[in-house]
Amino acid sequence: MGKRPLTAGRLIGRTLVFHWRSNLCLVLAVAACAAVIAGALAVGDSMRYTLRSLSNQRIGQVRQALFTGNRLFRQELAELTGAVPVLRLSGIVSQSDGARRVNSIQVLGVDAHFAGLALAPGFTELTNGTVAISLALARRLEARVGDELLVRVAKAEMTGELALNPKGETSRAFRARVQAIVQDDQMGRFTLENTQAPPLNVYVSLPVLQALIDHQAQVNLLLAGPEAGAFPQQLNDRLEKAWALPDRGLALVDLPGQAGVELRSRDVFLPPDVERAALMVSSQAVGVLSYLVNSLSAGGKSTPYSFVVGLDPLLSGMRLEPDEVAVTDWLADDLAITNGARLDLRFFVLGPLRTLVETGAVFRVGGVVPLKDYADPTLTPELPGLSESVNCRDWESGLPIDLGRVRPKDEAYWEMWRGAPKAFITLEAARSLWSNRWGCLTAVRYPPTAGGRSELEGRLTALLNATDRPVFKPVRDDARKAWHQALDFGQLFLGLSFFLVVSTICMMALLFRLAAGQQTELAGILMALGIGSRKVQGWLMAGTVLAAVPGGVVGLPAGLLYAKGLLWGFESLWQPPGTLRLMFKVSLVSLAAAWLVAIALALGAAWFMLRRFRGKPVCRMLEGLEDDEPGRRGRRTSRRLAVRADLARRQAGRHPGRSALISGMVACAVFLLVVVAVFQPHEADPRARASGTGGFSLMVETAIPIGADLSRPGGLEAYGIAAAELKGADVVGLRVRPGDDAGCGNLGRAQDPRLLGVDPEAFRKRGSFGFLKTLPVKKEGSPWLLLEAGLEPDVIPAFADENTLMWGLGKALGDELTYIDERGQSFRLRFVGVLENSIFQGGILISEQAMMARYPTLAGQSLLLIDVPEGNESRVADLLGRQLCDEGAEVSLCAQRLAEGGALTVMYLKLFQTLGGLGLLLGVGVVALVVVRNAWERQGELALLRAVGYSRRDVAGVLVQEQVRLIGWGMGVGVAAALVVALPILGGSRFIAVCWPGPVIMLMTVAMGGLLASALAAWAVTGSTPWNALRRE
Amino acid sequence: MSMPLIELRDVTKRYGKDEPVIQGVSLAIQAGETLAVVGPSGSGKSTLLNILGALDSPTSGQVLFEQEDLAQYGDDWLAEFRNRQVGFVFQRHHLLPQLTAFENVLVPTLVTRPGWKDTATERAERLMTRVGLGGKMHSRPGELSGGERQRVAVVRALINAPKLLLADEPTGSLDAVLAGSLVDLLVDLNREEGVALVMVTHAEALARRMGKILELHAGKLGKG
Repeated sequence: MGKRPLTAGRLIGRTLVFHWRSNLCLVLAVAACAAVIAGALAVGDSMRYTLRSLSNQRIGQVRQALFTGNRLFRQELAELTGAVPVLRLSGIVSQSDGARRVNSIQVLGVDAHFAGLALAPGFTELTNGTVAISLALARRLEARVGDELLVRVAKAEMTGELALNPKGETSRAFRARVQAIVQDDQMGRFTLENTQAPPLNVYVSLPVLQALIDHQAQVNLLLAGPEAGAFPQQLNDRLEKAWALPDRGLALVDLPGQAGVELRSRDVFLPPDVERAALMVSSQAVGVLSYLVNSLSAGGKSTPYSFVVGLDPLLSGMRLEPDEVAVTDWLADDLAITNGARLDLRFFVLGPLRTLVETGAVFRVGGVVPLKDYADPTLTPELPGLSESVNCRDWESGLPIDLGRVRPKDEAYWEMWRGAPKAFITLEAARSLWSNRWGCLTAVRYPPTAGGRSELEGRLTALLNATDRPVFKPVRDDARKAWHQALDFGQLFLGLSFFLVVSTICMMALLFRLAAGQQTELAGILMALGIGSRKVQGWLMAGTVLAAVPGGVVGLPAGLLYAKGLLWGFESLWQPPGTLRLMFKVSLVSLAAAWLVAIALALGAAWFMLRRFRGKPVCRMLEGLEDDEPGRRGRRTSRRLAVRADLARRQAGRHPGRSALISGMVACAVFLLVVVAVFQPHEADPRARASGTGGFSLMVETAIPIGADLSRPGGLEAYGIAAAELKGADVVGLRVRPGDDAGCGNLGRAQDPRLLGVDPEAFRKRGSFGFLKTLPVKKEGSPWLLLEAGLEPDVIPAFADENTLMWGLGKALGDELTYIDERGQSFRLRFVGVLENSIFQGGILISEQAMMARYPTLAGQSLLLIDVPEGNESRVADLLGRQLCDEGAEVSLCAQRLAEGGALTVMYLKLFQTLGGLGLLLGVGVVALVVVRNAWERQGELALLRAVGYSRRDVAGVLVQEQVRLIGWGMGVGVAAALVVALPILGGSRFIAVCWPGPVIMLMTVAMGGLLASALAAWAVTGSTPWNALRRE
Repeated sequence: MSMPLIELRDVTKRYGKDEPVIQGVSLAIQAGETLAVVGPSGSGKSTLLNILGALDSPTSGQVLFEQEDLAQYGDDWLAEFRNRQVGFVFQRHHLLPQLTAFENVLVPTLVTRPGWKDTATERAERLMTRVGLGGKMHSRPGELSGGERQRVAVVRALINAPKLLLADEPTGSLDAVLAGSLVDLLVDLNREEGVALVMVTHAEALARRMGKILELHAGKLGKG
């Protein structure tokens, strides 16, 4: 023992042990700092891990996917591309007894290959009459294996809202027993949308589902696994080679009698781009437009429901003027007309959403042709519900056909000649009368000299594929981007924990400041004895490192507990409740970062204190002087004061730096709590049209789009709703192109956000919704008109609300987003306006017109906003829920939806408040620490007070009063500063104080806690016998 | 006359815009000489001692140690100068409470010249025994009396065998008997170690034990 040379290490070690109390406090402060940082980073890690795990479960082993919505294509393409075929439809499901019902489910027709895409085996092959359901759906339905379910699926029809389609054929239902419940890693979470909510899936045998919707061997989704989808370009090349006319619903058929070849569409009309290509393929191509007219009348006689065909002269061989019609001799006999007679045509004009307007045209009879020569039933397209009928009475067209007008001779004609046209007009005349959004021709014909069928097919396919071919999307990359580009929750929680971190830094700074006297004197002695200042500072820093390192280590497990607490809080506050399940995960990098940052902050605080040594004469350092020089004079004076309050006041001014730190910390925390309380989001009257509800009271979302215009009596009647029942109501429908939720409810970054097609005029007229900002609007114009503004080619104007744009998409006004349309062509959305927070959170608004142009097969409206007279909300909600039951309607109150959208903002504010409160609590601990330290420093002074007759309570009172003063100052300054910020915006703003009680209670609790901690600390330190201290002094 | 060990030439020290603490002080101290600086409180005695020991720098004038002007050197050199050439005994002993008496003595050896450490350890043991603290080497300062603490401080000041020993009221907190014996010790060590001794004191009796007495009055030096 003993006679060893002294080393710097021993000096540092002895100093650490000797000042163990303050070093222990430093260890705890560093631990707290490390815990807060590690906790926040662990939350970030957990979020990323959760998102990654969920996205892996969501897509399984799928790499690329091709989804065509309502455009079904040949299942054979799956084999040709090496992908797995799926028929994906939306639907509704209920327990067969109707006890439980779930709307907006995904019905997946799958074959045996689908199981191969799962992360884990176990997906069983399905048979007729059985289905499998996802775990989430099983929970929602409370369904078990063996239960019978009633499933209704939307029919994938490109022309779902075309009035020619028979009504009621937008969906089909079937009953089946649950064969299996599909677990999350068995593709039970499969959906193409980037979402954390578990999808509600029903899995059906592919042939069964195809048969159900009358689309045998057709699918609308291809999933490429690792083998098929490794090289996206290769996959798309294979697809291009395979993608043929049937995949567009087109067919080239040989006409009877070697009359040539005809191009027909499954959807009655040839889409405009197909028409263009079809006519370009051959100069001899001629168009055909056949139309069902309601009546052909002349001279008081009328022939009901007849086809009239617009023909090119090349085809008809007739030379007709545009106002002339050639009639068959059958019709001429029926109406008793000859050349020159006036023929009146009455017909429906087809509009969107099954709208029909009967109108007419008058032609002059320019010729009578023999029916036997012109009776070509192939000139009329296959009309659903019509063409296959044996007789007229079986017609089930979507058109309002009055079968009472059908005469026996009409029946005889149908039996004999089917849909053979009774009259012919020029193609131009037909186009001008019957063109609609689905097309202008019902067929294109090629004479034998134009080339053989296969040759034409090849040319046409090549031409069409150049501009219109769906492409595989890299869903795995998109999923990865979704979680990779997601909001960095580590940073977010570091931000939310900002005040906690600041508190721990203040605590460290305060500890160093409290120890400054000791440190300065130690440094002064060492420097006086000839040890260089750099070496001395190095040793002091080494001492800090030795205290900080274990502090950081101790803080890490505490940080993990803190993270678990935060995750629990996040899950608990998440809306809707119980829908978020986070997985805990922390990376070594995060732990190391938290540890290093905490140590670095401690060293920074130490360096800040040591910096004060610079340039200070050694002889002054020997006195252990701090900068608070005036305080020493005050100290002498204070001893002479007998009045306790004066003592406390002077003591507070004795160490202005220390006092400022405490008051400043309390002030910051109070400011934060009060400001957060004031800035609670609050919407104006939800019935106001300028509010986020647009003045609408009800929102109806349907799983199966509504193919009729419910803002018109005819549309309502189609769904069994009497116009009178919605008297005074204003209905606005929106088309929805499904996609990712880009709202706050999606923790990942939306890659393909949901699009809402709106009629800007409807909102403009109502003055609905408020805008935060827009690109320049024409004078006296409405911002809604911006949605119809002409921009560059392939750029579509769009709106999104504030939360969606800023947080969901990370975009700003004027930014753009790229989409791929139905034809595989890319286009850009440019944000020309930012809505105030609204019921559209999570979606992007474009004009309905633009949506129909880009997604022509998107049939019907899936979102209805209804403004009903006050007091009728529940009645109308019940009515719509009942009448739109088969469409899977979910009716909700707009005000409630708006509040749900804002609930997550409130959740983040609550978290911020809570963490701020925790920081304040830490501040209270610091205050207690200061009390103890003050008492320790002033043992002699306090002992003197005891010696001259002050009781222990009086002496403790002096200590507590000092802190009361500091806390009081801090709270006063904090509240005043917060009010200065908040007062100018109170009233008239969408942010007003709605949440006072919580923060006030928290402030009072913290203030009382601070006083209690001070009192306890003061009581404890004044308990020892004062006489030794007095003697030392 | 031989070359002085340390010399002050017209040294003035003032803090800020206050009156100078010492003004125009010139003095020379020979190696092995003993000198007492006396004067009333606030006359600048401690400041003079701090300047002699390079703990503080003069506002004007020169401090020459073995004819080297200390003003030309930076902090590191001055630290080394203090470590090797100067020993300090302060009124408040300034021992480190976390170290034993023996370790306190060795603190100046933490940065000493190579090879000196072992010698210094032996020297510390010898000097501790010499000053009567052979049995208290492992005691902490808190366990020592005031006189013992000052003796530890004296040994610490001498551990690196300095040429100049500066004692700033070393007996200020001691009773007369202890003060007398401490001065005896300092004088004995001055003789034994050949170290020049400058002692600041209020006590006239103790000052008379020094070879020369200078009096500071209002910052100006006169013969005592």
